[in-house]
Amino acid sequence: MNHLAAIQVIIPLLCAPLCMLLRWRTGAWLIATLATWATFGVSLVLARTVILNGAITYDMGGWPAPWGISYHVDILSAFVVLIVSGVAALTLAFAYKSVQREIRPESLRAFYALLLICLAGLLGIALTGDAFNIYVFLEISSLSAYALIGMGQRRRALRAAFQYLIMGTIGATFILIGIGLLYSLTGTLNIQDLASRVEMIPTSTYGNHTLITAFAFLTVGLSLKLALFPLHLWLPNAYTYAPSVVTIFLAATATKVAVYMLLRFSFCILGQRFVFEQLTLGNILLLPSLAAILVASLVAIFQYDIKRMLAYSSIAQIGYMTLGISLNSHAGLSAGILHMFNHALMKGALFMVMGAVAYRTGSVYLSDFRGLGRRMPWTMAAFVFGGLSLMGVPLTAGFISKWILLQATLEAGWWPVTAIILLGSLLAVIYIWRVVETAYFNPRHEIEHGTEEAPLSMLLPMWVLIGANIYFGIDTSIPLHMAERAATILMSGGTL
Amino acid sequence: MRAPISSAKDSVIVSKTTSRLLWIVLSMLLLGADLIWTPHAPVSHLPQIGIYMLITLTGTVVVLGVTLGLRRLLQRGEDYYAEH
Amino acid sequence: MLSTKLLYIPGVVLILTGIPLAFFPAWLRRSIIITLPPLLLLHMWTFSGGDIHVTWLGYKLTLLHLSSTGLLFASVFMFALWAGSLFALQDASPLELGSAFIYAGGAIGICLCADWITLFCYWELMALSSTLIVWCGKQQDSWRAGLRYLLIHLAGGVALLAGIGALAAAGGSLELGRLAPGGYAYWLILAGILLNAGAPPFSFWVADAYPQASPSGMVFLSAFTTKTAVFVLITAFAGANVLIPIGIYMAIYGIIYALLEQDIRRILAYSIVNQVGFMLVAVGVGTPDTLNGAQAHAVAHILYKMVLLMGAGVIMRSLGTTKARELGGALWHKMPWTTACILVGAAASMGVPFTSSFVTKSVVLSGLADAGMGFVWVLMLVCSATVVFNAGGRFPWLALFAPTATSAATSKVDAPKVTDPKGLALFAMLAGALLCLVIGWFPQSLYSALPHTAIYQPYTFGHILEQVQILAVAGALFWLTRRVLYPSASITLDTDWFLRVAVLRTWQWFSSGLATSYAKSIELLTSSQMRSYMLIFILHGPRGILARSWYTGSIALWVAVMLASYIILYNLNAIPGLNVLQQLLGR
Repeated sequence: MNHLAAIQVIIPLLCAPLCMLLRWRTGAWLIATLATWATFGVSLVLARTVILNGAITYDMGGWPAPWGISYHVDILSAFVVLIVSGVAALTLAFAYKSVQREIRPESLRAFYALLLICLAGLLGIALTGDAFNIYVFLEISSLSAYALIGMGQRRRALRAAFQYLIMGTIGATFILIGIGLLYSLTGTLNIQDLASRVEMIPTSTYGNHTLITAFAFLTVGLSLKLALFPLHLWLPNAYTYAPSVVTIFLAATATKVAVYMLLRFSFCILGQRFVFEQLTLGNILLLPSLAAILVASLVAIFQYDIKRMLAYSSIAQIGYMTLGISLNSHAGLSAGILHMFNHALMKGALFMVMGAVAYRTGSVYLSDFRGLGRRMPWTMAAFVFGGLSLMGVPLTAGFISKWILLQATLEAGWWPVTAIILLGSLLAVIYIWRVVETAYFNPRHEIEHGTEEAPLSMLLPMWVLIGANIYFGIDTSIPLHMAERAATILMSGGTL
Repeated sequence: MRAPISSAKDSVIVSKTTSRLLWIVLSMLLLGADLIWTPHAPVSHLPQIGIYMLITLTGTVVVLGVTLGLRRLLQRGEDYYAEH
Repeated sequence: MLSTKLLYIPGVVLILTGIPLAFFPAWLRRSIIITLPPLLLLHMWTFSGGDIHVTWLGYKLTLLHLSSTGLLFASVFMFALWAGSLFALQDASPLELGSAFIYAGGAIGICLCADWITLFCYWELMALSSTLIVWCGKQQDSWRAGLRYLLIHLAGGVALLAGIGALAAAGGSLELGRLAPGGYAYWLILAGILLNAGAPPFSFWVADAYPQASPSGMVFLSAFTTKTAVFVLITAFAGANVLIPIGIYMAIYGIIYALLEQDIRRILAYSIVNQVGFMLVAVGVGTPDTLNGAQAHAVAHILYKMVLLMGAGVIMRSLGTTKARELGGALWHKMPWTTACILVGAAASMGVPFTSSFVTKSVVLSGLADAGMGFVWVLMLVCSATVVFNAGGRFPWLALFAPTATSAATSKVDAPKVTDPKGLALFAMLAGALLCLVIGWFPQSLYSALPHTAIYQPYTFGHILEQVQILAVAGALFWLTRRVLYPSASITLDTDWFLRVAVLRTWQWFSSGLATSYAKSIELLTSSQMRSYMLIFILHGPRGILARSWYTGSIALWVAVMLASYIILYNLNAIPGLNVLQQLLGR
C-alpha cells in the first residue's frame, strides 16, 4: 500500500520504452491507455488514502529523508495527481483516431512513449518531496512536451516548439538557480527540511538577500511555466500548432502543475508569512493576474483560429487561479485550487471538441465551424456546454470556482477586482458566442468537408468530461472538500 | 389630379377635429371648474363626477400634448437603423 | 432521495421535459403539452410535502417553498404556459415549444423557491431560453434584437450575481425575503431585477425584442420575464420608495411610445411596460392593500395581455404583418371569434366593470388613496384612463376596425386564410378571455388567494360610476383624436439608440484610432536601436499578423525585465517603511 506513490510515477515511466519496443502500432496505444488508466486507478486509491489517513511519506529505496529522496503526498499533491492522471486517461481514450490522422505512422510509437514520459514527469513533480527532484521531473516533462509539440502537422509547430523550448529552458534554469540558492543557504533539498531551516534564518532587519533573490528567480521561472501574463507569449503558439491530443493534455495539466509548484514553493518552503507579509507576493501577483484576465480575454475575442482563441482563454483562466493565490486567504486559495480542477475539466472538453472538429474538417478556423451545428450536433453541443462552463453559468463547474473566487474577493473587500472578474466572464460570453453563432446560425461552408459526426471513440471521452462539468457544477462536495483542505494545509505552512 | 384633392380633404378633417376638440376641452373645463368651486351648481350633490372627469381630461390632454411634441423630436424614417 | 424529491418541484419538471421536448415525435410533444401543465397545476395546489432543501457549498438552498404569493404567480404562469403552447401548437417550431417549457419552468421555479442562489440559476435559464424564443421568430430583425436582448439580460444577471455575492459576503442570509435597504448588495440586486422588469433606462428592450418573436412566441414572452421581476420585487423590495418614480416613468413611457407606434404588437409591448410600471408603483408604496393589488393586477394583466397577443398573433398568422397601415380595415367580420376575444381582452385592460382589471386596479388605486399618496393616485388614475390609448381602445381599433391606409392591404384581407383559428388555438384564446370575465364576475375568488387578508368590495355604485366617467372621457378623447394620432410609417428613437448607434460609432472611432496609434508605436519600436536589437533574432523572421508576432528574443528580454523588477520589488518590500507597492495600491 505504501508503495503507491512510487508506483504512480513508475508505471508510465516503464511503459514508455515498452511502447517504443513494440512493433505493433495499435499495441503502443493500448499500452499507453492501460498505463494511464492504471495511474488513474492508483491516484484514486492514493486520494482516498490521503483523505482518510492524512499525508503519506515514502522514502525511495528505503533511504530516510535528508539523504535519500522522499515522496511526500499530502492532499494537494493527491488532488493534482488526480487531475493529471484523470485527464491523461480520458485523453488517451480520445487519442486513438485523432493521432492516427495527425501523426505520421512511423512516429506513432514515439508519440505515445513521449506522452507517457510527459505524464510521468508531471506526476513526479506533484508527488516528490524533494526540491531538486522537482526540477528533474520538470525537465522530463518539459523536454517530452517540446518534442510532442514539434510533432504537429504544420511546419509552424517546429517554430512553436523551439520557442517553447527556449522559454521553458530559461524558466527551468531560473527555477534551478532558485533551488541552488536555497541549497547554498540551507544545505538541504528536502522540502520539509528546507522549510524548517528557512524558518530559522533571521529575516528581522533587512531581509535575507540570498533568500529574496532565490525567490525572485523562482517566481519568474514559475511565471514562465505558468504562462502568467506577460510571460505567456510562448503558450498560444505552442497550443495552436501542437497535435490536438497534445493540446488537450498540456492545456488541462501542464499549467496546473506549474500552479502547484508555485503553491508548494511559496507556501510550503518559504512560508506564507515570509512570502506574503514580507515580500507581498499577493500585490505583485495581483496586477499580472488582472491583466491576464482582461487582456487575454480581449485578445481571444479577435482570434480566428479557435484553438488559439482557447489558448488565450487559458491564459485568462490562469489569471483567475493566480488571482485566488494573490488574495492570500483561505477562501482565495480554495478558489484557485478548485479552479485548477474545474479548468482542467472545461478546457479538456473544449480542446477535445477542437480535436474532433480538426479530425473531420482538417482545421479549426472560425470559418470551418459554419454549419457544424447541424453536421456534428453532438460535438457542437459539447462545445456549447463546455463554453457555458467557461463563462461560469450556474449548474456548471465553472460557476462554482467563480462563485468562490467572488466570495473571496468580496471577503477581502476588493470591489474593483470583483468587477474585473465579472467583466472577464462577460468577455468569455463574447468569444464563445462567436463560435456558437457561426456553428448554428451561419450558412454552411461552401466546401463540404466530412459530413459526419465525430467517431464514438472521440465523443465518449468528450461527453464524460462534459458530464463531469455538469456533475461537479451541481454536486461539488468532493473537489471542494479537497481544495479547502489543501488550502488549510497551505495556510498553515504545509505541516499538517 | 386625384392626389391634391385628397390631401386637401385630409387637412380639412384635421382642422375640423382640432376645433371640435378645443370646444369640448373648453366646455369640460368650465363644467369642471363650476362643479368644484360653486357649491350651488346644478349637480353639486355628486361633486366626484367633476373631479374624476377633470383629472382624466387634463391628464389625458397633457399626455397627448407631450406625445405630439415628442413625435416631432423622436420620430425617424422606418429604415433609420439600417442607414446608421 | 433527493432525485425523486426533485420531481415534486414543478419548475424542475418543466425544465426537464423542456430539454428533450424539441426532439420528441410530434404526437408525444402534443400530448405532453396538453396534459402536463394542468397536472402540475393540480399537483401544486394539492402538494403537502413541505419544503425541499439541499445543501450546496455550505448554503442551505430551498428548492421548494409554497408561499401564497408564489403559488398565485406560479398558477397563473402555469396557465399561461398551457394556453400559450396550445395556441402555439399550430405553427410554432419544436425548438420554440421546448424553450417555452424551460422558460416557464424558470419562472415557476423562481416563484416556488426561497433562496437567492436557486433564484439566480432559474433567472439565467430564463434569459437564455427566452432569447431562443426571440430567435425562433425568424423575422428580419429577430437575430439582432435577440442579441441585444441577451446582452442586456446577461448584464442584468451579472449585476444580480454580484449583488447576491455581496449579500453572502456580508454574512447576510440568502433566504429570499425582504432585503434590508442600503449597501451594495441591495442596490445591485435591485438593479438586476429592475432590468428584467423593463425599468428605465433600458425599458426599450421589451418593445425591441418581444415583437420579433413568432405569433405564439410573444404570448410566452409577455407572460413571464417582467412578471417574475414583479414577483421578486414584491417579495424582496416591498415598500422601497425608489420604485414609485421608476414605476411612474414606466407607466407614462409606455403610453407615449405606444401612441407613436405603428405596429400593433409593439403597441402591446409598450402596454406591458405601462402596466408593469403601475405594479411597480404599488409595490413601492408597499402597504398590504397595494401589495395585494399589485399581485391581483399582475394576474389580471397576464391573462388579458395573453388574449390580446393571441388576437394579434392570429392577425399576424393570416396577414403576415402587424403594421397598422398594412392591415385591412374590416378584419372584424372575417374573424368574429377573434374579434370577440380581443374586445373582451381590451375591455379587461381598460378596467370596464365586470372584467378582470376593474376589480384589481381598484384595489391598487384605493390602496394608494388610503396610503395618502394623493399625487401618485392622480397620476395612476390618468395612466389607467390612458390605457384607452393603447391596449384598450387604440389596439382593437387599429387591428380590426380602422380604415386601411393602402389599397394593397384591402385585397389581402380577402385571402381565404384570413379566418378565425381552429381547434386548440381557438380554445386557448377563448379560455383566456373567459378567465378575464370570470375574475370580473367573481372577484372574491381571486381576493381570497391574496396573501394579506382584507375585504374589498369593487361593485359599489360610486366606484362603477367613477370608472364609467373615466372611461367615457378618455374614450371620447380617443375617438376625437383617432385620426390625428393615426400612425405614420416611422420608428421612434429610444434609449436603445445609444446601444445601436452611439456605442457602435464610438467603437469604430476608437478602433480606428487604436489602429493608427498601434501602427505608429510599431514603427517606433522597429526603428533604429530596436531594429538592430531585433536583427540578432532575424533567424526567426516575422510571421503572420503583426499583433501576434513575438520574437523569442523579445520574450527573453521580458523575462529579464521581470526578474529585475521582481528582485527590486521584493527588496523594496523587505525594507520596513519603504513598502512602495502597498502604498501604490492603496492597501
